[in-house]
Amino acid sequence: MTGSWTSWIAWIVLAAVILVASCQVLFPVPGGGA
Amino acid sequence: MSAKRFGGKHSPGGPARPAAAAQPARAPAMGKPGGPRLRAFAMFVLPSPILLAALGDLGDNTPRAVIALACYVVLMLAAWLLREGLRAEAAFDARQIAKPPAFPRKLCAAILTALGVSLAVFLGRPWDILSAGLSGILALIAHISAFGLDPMKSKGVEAAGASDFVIEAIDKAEARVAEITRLAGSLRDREITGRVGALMERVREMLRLVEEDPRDLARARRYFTVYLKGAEDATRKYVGTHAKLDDPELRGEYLAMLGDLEESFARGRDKLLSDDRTDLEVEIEVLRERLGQESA
Repeated sequence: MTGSWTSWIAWIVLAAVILVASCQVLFPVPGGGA
Repeated sequence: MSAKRFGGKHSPGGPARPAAAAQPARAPAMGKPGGPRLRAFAMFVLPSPILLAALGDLGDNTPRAVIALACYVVLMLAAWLLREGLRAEAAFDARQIAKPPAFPRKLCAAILTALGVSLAVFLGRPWDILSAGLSGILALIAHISAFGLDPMKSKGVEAAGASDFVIEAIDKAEARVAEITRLAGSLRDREITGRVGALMERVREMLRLVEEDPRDLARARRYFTVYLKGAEDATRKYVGTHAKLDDPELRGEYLAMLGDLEESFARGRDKLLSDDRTDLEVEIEVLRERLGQESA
């Protein structure tokens, strides 16, 4: 499973989620929240 | 998952066993470079902005810095568990008879990653619980899709008719192989590392024969207990002694012992292949006595 192209796409999604979440900690959204 | 059926190679008309045994022994590795290994390594790097944020907040907003640091630790723990899980999976794949890892590392890594991502989003967008929850679920699904789950079922056990005793013996031998390789590596001596590597290759060849036919364990067991344990003890003692005094004579004796062991393991493998029980028992006794004399 880990060698297929779907796993690569999933990894790119995961990497993007982690990176965006991490950058939001570094640069918080002003007045963010529901 | 390439479990081989027990009996096939030894049944009348089955494929010749030496052909299978001629395959190179494989050491468990963590997948191909550039594959899961590289992607798993990235899991250590990607959360770096959280660490920077935590360090930046230390003076101004200590509670936020502490939460950010906790978030970073959770993601690092997840990355470490993932790496260990991939290693355990590679070791599982390399064997023909194996039990699944006792602790589901990859699953725990996925859950911790989801937790870490949720916490990070919650820190970046305070009180946006919906975004935090959705990001966590997305991370969980993506993690499982990218790296898969841990092996859950035993492999080859029923097909090979291997008992827990056989699996335990193979596990112990594999652990000894890993320990001897680690100890030899700590010496930073290229020749010793090479000789130990060659010896461990012979050991793995015998292990593979036992995996293919667990009945061989009765004949090979002493190799894995007496000889392999002897090699482990000798290597440990040599590493300890080498740290205190660098004696070329001792090094020569150690190398000679490695050579003897390699030869005896190669002969043992050949004997297993030829199924000559009597000769093997006699040789084991002779070599055992010799090892006893050397260690005395």
